Amino acid sequence: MGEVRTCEEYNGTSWTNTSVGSLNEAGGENAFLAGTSSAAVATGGYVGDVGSGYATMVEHYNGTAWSDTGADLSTGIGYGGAAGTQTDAIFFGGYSGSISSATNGWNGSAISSLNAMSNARNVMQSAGTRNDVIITGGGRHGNNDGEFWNGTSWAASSTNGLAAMDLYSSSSHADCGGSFAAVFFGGGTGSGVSTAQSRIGHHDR
Amino acid sequence: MADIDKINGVDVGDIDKIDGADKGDIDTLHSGEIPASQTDPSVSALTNYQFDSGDTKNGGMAYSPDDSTLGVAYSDGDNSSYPTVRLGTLSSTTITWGNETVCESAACGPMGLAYDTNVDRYVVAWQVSGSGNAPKVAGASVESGPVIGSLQTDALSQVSGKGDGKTPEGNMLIYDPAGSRTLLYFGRSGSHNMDQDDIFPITFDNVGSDNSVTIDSATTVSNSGADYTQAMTLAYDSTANKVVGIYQDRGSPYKVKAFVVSGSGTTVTANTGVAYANTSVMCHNGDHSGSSLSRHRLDNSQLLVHVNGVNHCLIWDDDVDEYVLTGFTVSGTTPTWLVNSNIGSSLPVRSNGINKQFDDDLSYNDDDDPDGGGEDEYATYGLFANSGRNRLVLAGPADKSDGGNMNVVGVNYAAATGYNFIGQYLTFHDEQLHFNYGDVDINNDSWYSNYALITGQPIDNSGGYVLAFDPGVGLRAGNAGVFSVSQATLSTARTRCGGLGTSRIASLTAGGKNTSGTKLTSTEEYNGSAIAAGGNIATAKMTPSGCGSLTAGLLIGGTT
Repeated sequence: MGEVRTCEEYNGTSWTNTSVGSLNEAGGENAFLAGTSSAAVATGGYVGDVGSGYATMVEHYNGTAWSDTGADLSTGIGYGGAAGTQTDAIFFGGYSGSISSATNGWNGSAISSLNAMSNARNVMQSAGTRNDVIITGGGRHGNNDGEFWNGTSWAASSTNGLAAMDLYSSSSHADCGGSFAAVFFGGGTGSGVSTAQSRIGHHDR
Repeated sequence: MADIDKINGVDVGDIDKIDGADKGDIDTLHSGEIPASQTDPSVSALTNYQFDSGDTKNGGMAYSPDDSTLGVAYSDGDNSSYPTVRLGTLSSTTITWGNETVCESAACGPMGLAYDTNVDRYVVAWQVSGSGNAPKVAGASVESGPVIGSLQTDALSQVSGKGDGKTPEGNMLIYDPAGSRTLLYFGRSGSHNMDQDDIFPITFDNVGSDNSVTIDSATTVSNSGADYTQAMTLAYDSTANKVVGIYQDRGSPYKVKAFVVSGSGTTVTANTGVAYANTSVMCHNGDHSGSSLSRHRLDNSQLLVHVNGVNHCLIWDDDVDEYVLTGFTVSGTTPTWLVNSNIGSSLPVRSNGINKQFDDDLSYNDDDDPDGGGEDEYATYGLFANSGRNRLVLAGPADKSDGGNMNVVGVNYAAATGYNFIGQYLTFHDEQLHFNYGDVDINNDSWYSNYALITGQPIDNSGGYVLAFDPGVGLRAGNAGVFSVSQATLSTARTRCGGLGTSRIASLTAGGKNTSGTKLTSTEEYNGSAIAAGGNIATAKMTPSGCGSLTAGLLIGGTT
């Protein structure tokens, strides 16, 4: 057992993986994933069986199969967040031996370097769209802080109400249509941050 | 996208007119208003916001679109509690008040005020005091204008019988454009004992040139068996062009019901009420029978408003032990409560719980167990509308003391995204207020179309105020958002799980691991206020990544 590249699709009732191909390289633990179930982009993730253990290949999904776009991250990384569409996405934060503050852009064919986060962060609570992302917790849980992405740069988020839900490794990024009605599920607390929580977090603005 | 420098051969930089209008002056396009991209909510400092320095409890407020006057009605504690009306004009942020007009030289209790555009007059009602809490209700018309002349009370009418001792406790009048009449409504003691309210609307008619007023025959909303009612409040649904209402059906278990008023002139039909999905309370003046269903007070505040096609109400939902916002739409004479079909089939659409969302900010939650709170959970909420912004306004106290702030927040509702709060609250006033009924939602082109105008007085009865709050446009800045914990919890505590969904009210978490490290196959769906089980994934895993929607989702990777 270990890191997998398999995929499953949900139709609102049940999951199926019979017709869903596996990723070529990306996947494993906390890969960067954005888009829809018929037009997705994925990269990175801790997969274990490549050079550094972290994937670099950027892959596209067309609803049936994954394909190599020919582009690669400069450094393999996982445990970050992603938001946007298959042709206009950002990949932010993560971990590859150290926690990252980098933000990368994806235009469907190439990676670009965008303004970095103020604080390095991984496995964060994250939600939003390409130009409207809210993050908190994760590797900085306990700091009671967060950041907000406006499409160009990151800035400190509100901390109002944050203390009650500043958690480690909650659910992966959800689009939510933006940060105005965002949701985060579960997460860990306690020694080793492994005490699972049943909390559901909201962010409104 | 490449830069566009010409349109139809014309340099973009040279265009100064669109369709013949100076582009700098364009604020509408194809007859639709072009909204500002972002305007933060704000409390306006109105000049002359205080219309009286004494006790003005249980008043009402109304607006005349005919002459742009704002009217307030109140029991004037500085003048023997006589029923009093005062009109003002609005100019920029200044209110200019006319003279106080005493309706009758006898003490009164609660008052109501409406503006009847059918007869171009304010209509005022008041509960005559002096016979215990039995409310006799009178009506009279008032000449409009910033300075009222003599009040026309020559044909003043009164309702016979007794009230229930609890209502009316605020505005008891609403103008019904579809029926071309004003409706009077309150709980009247009927076949039940005290605490058992018969509720009925009464029409005013014959408000002609002689200013005579007739209160016509009553219609009881509901008064059969256990299905008797309490705490009815009405609002005007401009989408359906109907007066609509909610009341508390005290049959067991308690249910809030919505209903539609139809008819015109002297004919009033109170159509059958439709119950909200869950056990629910809009209890008025308590009713401490020992049941958790009746230990909460939404004191004499406005609890029902119409915004953007939906009638929104603030109720206590016993299913989540919380005050929530929810709503209903109307087709014909049938109300339909908002249902979130993203998960399950009949779960109501509702906001996050107010205590969860704004604990100690808009609800002094000094009892950790709301069910055990009894009157400690007294909450002076107010729900208001602002059609200029297509948003709701929710106000509540930070503390029970007079010195505690009254705070306010804007609320947005959209079918695709449900309810969301417009970021952090603002301080509306630096002392707790009892809101009087009758927020004024002015939908015209003046500055105050963007403001909900709200009347009330401090809980130490030290004056009457008109305050203004703009719920804003667009989103708050990133540093003005607000985090909160949902009133719902996951069925299975989990960490390192996947998440997906293009809307909070249609989202999902999948897999992850529990505290003992066991990886999970279960998934849970979320509709913004409730959790339901989703289908299991094929393989238990943690740290997967998700994207897409609740009905077309994708989950990749992870560790098995």
